[in-house]
Amino acid sequence: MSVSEYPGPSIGQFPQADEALAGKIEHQRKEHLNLDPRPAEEMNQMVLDPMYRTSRLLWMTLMLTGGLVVAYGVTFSAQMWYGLGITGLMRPVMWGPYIVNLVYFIGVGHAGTFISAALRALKFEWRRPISRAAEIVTVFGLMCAAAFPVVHLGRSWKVYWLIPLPNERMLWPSFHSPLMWDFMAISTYLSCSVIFVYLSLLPDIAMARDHSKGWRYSFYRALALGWRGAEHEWHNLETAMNVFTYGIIPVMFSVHTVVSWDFAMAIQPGWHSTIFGPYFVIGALFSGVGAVMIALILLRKLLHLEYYLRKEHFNGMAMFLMILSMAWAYFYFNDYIVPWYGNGPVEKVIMTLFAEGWAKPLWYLMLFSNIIVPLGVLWNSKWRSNLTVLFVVSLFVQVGMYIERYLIVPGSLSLNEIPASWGIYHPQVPESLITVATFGLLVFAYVIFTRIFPMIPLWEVREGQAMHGLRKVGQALIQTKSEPD
Amino acid sequence: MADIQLLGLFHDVEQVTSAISQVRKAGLKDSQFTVLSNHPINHEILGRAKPATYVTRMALIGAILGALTAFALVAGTGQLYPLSQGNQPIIPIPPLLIVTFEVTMLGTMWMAFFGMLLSNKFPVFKKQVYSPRITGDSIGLLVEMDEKLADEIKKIFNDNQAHEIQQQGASQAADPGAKRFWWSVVAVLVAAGGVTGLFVYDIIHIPFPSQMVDQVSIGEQQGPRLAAPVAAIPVQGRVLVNGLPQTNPVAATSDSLQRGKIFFSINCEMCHGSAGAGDGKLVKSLDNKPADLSSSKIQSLADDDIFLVINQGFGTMPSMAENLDSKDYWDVINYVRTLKK
Repeated sequence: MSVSEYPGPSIGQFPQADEALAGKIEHQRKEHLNLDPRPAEEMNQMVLDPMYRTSRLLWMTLMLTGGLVVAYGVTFSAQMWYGLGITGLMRPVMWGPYIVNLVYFIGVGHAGTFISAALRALKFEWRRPISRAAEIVTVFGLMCAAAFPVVHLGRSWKVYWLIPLPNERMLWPSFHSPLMWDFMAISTYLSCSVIFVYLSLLPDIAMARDHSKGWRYSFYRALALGWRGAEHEWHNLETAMNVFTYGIIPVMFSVHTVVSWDFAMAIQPGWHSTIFGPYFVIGALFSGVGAVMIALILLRKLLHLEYYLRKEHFNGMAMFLMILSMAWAYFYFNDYIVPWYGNGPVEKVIMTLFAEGWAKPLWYLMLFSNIIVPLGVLWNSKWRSNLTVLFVVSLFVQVGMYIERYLIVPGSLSLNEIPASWGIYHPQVPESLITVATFGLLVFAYVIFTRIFPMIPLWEVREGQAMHGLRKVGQALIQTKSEPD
Repeated sequence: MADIQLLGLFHDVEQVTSAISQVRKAGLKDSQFTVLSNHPINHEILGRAKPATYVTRMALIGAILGALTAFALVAGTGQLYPLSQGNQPIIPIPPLLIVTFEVTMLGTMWMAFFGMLLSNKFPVFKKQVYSPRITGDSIGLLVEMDEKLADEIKKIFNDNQAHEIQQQGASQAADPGAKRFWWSVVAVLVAAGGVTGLFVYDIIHIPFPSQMVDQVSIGEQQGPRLAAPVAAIPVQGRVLVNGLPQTNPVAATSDSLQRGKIFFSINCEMCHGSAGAGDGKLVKSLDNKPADLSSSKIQSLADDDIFLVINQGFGTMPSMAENLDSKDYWDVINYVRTLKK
């Protein structure tokens, strides 16, 4: 197709375009989504089609993950009925996989907002098509995580006691407690992430409304709130999204810091560390970016979003993952060397446990998955845009980061200042089942979402395409961005 | 003459800007028209003033409300129910900062969202002039003006290659559906608060076991005693555990006596002496002398009484429960019987 067929504003402005130049333009188009505008309706259909498509794979995924969701419900009910005694939780390890899952899934929920908000604030242009997919990982990851303190409670039905409700007995939650800070931070982060997703969805829901019939039309019409894309609507929306962009980044940092304080405030060897805050934040981003990568690769493949999700996006994400791997290694080393040098009796035992005890295979697998695999692979720009390689690396990162949290929670907790009360935690069926089922729940919710809502923020892509052009410098064509201020 | 609305659909932003300048020339004010588009178009591209918004102001109000709420929660509830923890003050500053930060951000962002809804007058229930092509391939210019100008504006639209023109009566200022919506939101919130109040103030009482005092339990010195769970305590004896052997289940065979002798020599002999006469090596450092196991006083005790003494200790004598397995007690008892003078 010739350049001038597209409504792209700037690329067509090379009237003298000779053949060599046309080849270069074609190359740039192929590389960059922002330079490759297509007719608006074609772009709409590329986003809308996958929402209607069903396949055997889809039904099988929904059945499998739906079954896991049911298993979750049944196991949790049984645990409420018979009590936490049916799990392997036992003195001294009273925080088992439930808390590992809490930390892990909050971590998974960290990258979405970071990619969306931080890259928006810093004006990284490749973020445009991936922000929705990332934000949804955040929302559902956080929901899965937020369930765990409840699952972990001995009397789950008392969870509303965390809410500062006026009541007859004048009892209030204790704001001295890190668990209370955690509750405040997670509720802030979750509710604001949901609104953030909704804000950026609003114009896309309107798009879906204008292209649908039946129940979908009524549903989208209600959710679109009467959106017409008028000037003041865009301006108000963008102002609100600006507030969220700059508001949600510090909240994101605070959430995983406060989660780390759940541990660091306790005088438990292996936990009582001042670096835990930033160390947890980096770990969360690391596993979160990996999770978003997995989601993006699957979305591109299964929803056929090859037009929107290109090499440049995966390359950008992979570089990000590599930097986070280095940052994680740096923080882990910090967290390791100080107790190692101090050589306190219990710390020494914990380090021996990691290096030589039952945790040895886990510990080395963690170091391998979190440092050797990402750094060994992602330095190479060819591998950085090979989706199979990226998928495997991201899976390794998930395994490594899960193990890291496992070693921190039941690992460190099994050894304390009183050798007489040391003990090893053995996972039992209920908590293992709920852990596996939570992954099912996450996938289930995500898949359902992709059936109902557009997974690409089209208006952001269009805005990017309207802003980008090519400039000829010498023999090269260089991508430029124009932005009125 | 009544006002009407005209919506022209264009393909290109250039056509729209050219139409805008002609509409201005026709004597229309900037507040009378707006551009509808499928992506945000900067106001400078359209040659328009930046639209006013009070989203930021709402966000600021939200921040202040959030900070005050957080302070009220931490400081206020601390005063209402003073709970000293780890020698921290009742109103601790660092936790106050954390809670204040979170609730402030919560207020800021929620109110920014709320401000977005209010300043866009969302949700809209009244009929609006609109074309689904706006989220597709078209950019719309929506003009609201006196009916007599309609022909002139239509001509401007056509001159700029508008491919579709819609006409509709003036937009109604009032949107009764929106009013109903916000009142129902208020009603739902009030109802939710009311229902919560009914429960937390125990006006509706659910007989949940919410106080430990109300649980099924047995008070001090209060019968009937519950039987211990099976295999709850790995200690045997007459009075301690129901249903366990009260008499010596181990016959005094030579095996048993030999085992008993070995256990005796390890655990008992240092105080009670090799013949059980109460003259072991440690006696000189004890104030209370060990019992003479060969005496008729000891030998007249029942087996299970001796079992209890081994298990529980007696006076200065410590419990042997950590040194001996309870089933080995019987061997020791059989051996002690042989010490009778």
